[in-house]
Amino acid sequence: MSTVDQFESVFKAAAKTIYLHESPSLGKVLLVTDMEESDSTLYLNSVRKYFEKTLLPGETKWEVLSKKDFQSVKELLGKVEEYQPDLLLTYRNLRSESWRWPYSLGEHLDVLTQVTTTPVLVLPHPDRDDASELLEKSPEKVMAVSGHMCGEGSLIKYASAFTPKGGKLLLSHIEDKVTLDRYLDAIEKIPDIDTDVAKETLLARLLNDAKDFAESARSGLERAGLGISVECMAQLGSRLEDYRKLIEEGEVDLLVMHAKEDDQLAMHGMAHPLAVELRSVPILLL
Amino acid sequence: MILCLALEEKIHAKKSLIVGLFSVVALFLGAWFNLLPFTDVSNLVIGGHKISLPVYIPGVDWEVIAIILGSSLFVDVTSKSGLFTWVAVKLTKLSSGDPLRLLILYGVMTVVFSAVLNNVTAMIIVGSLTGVSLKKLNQSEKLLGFLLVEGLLTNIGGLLTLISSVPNIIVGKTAGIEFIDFFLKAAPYVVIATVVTLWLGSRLFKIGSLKTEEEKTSAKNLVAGFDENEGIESPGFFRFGAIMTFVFIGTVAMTSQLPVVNELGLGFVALSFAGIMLVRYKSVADRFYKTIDWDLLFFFVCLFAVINVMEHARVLNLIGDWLMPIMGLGDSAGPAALLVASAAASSVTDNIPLAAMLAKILGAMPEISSNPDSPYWWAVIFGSNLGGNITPIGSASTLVSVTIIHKYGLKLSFAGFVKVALPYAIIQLALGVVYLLITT
Repeated sequence: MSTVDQFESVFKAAAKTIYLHESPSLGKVLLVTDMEESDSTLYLNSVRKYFEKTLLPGETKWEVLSKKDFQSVKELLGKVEEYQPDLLLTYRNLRSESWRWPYSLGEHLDVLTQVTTTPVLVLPHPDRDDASELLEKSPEKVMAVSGHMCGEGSLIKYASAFTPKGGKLLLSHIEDKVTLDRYLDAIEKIPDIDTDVAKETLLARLLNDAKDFAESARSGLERAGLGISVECMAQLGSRLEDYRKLIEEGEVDLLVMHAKEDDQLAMHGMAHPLAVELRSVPILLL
Repeated sequence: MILCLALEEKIHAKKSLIVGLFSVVALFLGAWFNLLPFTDVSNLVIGGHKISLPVYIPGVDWEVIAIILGSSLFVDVTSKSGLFTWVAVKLTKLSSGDPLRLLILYGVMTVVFSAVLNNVTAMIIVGSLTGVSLKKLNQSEKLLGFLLVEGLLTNIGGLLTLISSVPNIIVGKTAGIEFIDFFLKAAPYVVIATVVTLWLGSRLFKIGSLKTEEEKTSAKNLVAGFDENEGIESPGFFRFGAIMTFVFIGTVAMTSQLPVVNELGLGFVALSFAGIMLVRYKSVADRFYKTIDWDLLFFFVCLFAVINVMEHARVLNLIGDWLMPIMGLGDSAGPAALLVASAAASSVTDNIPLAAMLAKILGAMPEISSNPDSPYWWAVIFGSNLGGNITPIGSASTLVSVTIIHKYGLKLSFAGFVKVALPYAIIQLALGVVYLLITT
């Protein structure tokens, strides 16, 4: 080990990102529906019950928007601006029948998740046959989803806030196999890079960074005394398939992921297919 | 040859090749003019055995080569244990992310690593850590100041022990200075010069402490993320590396007192320790052979060959005559003038040929060669080490520091370096002259 680059690599690996816990403010929640006022109130009650362990009754102020409160996306954004909530609660395909098909979140949500800085919690559509069933049991198992777990402090902060005492928080990082294989294919064609070393170390390095941060989050949350169990999972795979499998196996009651990406206006590359296709599980989009 | 070495960067040629070509010419001319002792070296009788050697072999100081080869291999293998990175990260955390404290700790670490390892390795370790840690602490604007001060401190640390730099090894060996005596003589100067350099660095580059509690908490949280164990592959080898480093330094310090070992010399000690460390990597030992600085080793071999020819051609006597006016200045002004002259010369060319040549010349003067405490030896040691701080090409470690500066996209030209470094170099040289006058 004799060059600047080699030592720099060791020090860069040693300079780990640590998780510092602080509880997010969730005192003001705005439930957005496209129902009539009376139905909205009923729906609000079931949603409040569903989140009774995390959005505690005495600490959370609830507001509700029903069908008559907004006619367009612009009006909805105006209402959000007016209420200034800490959290938006709604369901996919507002004011649309297309919730039956797994191809979009609907225009209201597409805009809402990108324009507002407020986290949006997307519930399964209330017209689903199993809708009431899905909101029967409060979420116990929450999964923070990331393709780049290292440094995802806000993701873990919100995910932990939605994990009730005694519940389980799963910090999940799935390294996309297709992308990694593509990089390794390119490396195989570069004579200056040792292919065997790259194959051996690249995946290990990617997963280690995620594991280290998740481990730091685990200790940070333990120190914060939230009374939740934290499990870290970092693996190579196919994101959509793996998450779908975990949800089908009943491992997850609530997914938490980032919906915004700095360099694009559309929804985060990984979040969009998950949010669109995983329709039976509530998803918190940050 | 010296001019070509000074222009090494401009002519894009490795120093081993430059000196190698000159050694070919020198040997050819030496043979042509019947200056070389062919008869003596072809009829050597050692232990009753007649040995025939090529004429250029006995002129090489193989002890110096063995010390450099052995210690660089030892350091290279030991660094794989994660020991040096562990120390470096621990000190970073100890600073709590405060820039001034970081500068002091990195400065002291540079001096100690330069003394124990070598100044190039020290600069590589501390310089690369500085880049990473200042970026992490969002203090990248202070990088130039840090790297420059560290580069200057490598040459101060290089003065601390007999094996800290090549001029020390060459001059110390020729003068017969013991490891402990060398350390005791150089240590007070190194401490003073380090303190002054750090103080000046913090003033000139405006590196101060963090002011608000918020800044301090944020910096502390950021450095808390450093994991000192990241570079440790095996805890067992880490402990072994730490123990062996202490034993190595102890053995080197005690070589002249240890029976049997004192006859085998420092080169044997360095090579033996390198061999012991390599056992851990026995199946891939060749990987470490590839990382050896063969350019430096071939440079030495060829340089010794050139100097040997110059000795037979009485060129060194001639240069010695030129030095007589300096010697004639007396026991105070003479060493002071030699120190400054050595520093000036080694600022524009490699300090190793200069040290090797001056060591040969001083060694040929009976009144100096018989006295290891002669101030002239120390004048060459101080001058050849400190001269490296005047220009970026004055020493390999300052060159490494400039390389890292450029790697981070910071602009620093040759003249820019001289402009910034000159106040430090003048103060360090003035301190050196005063120290030499007081202590001899």
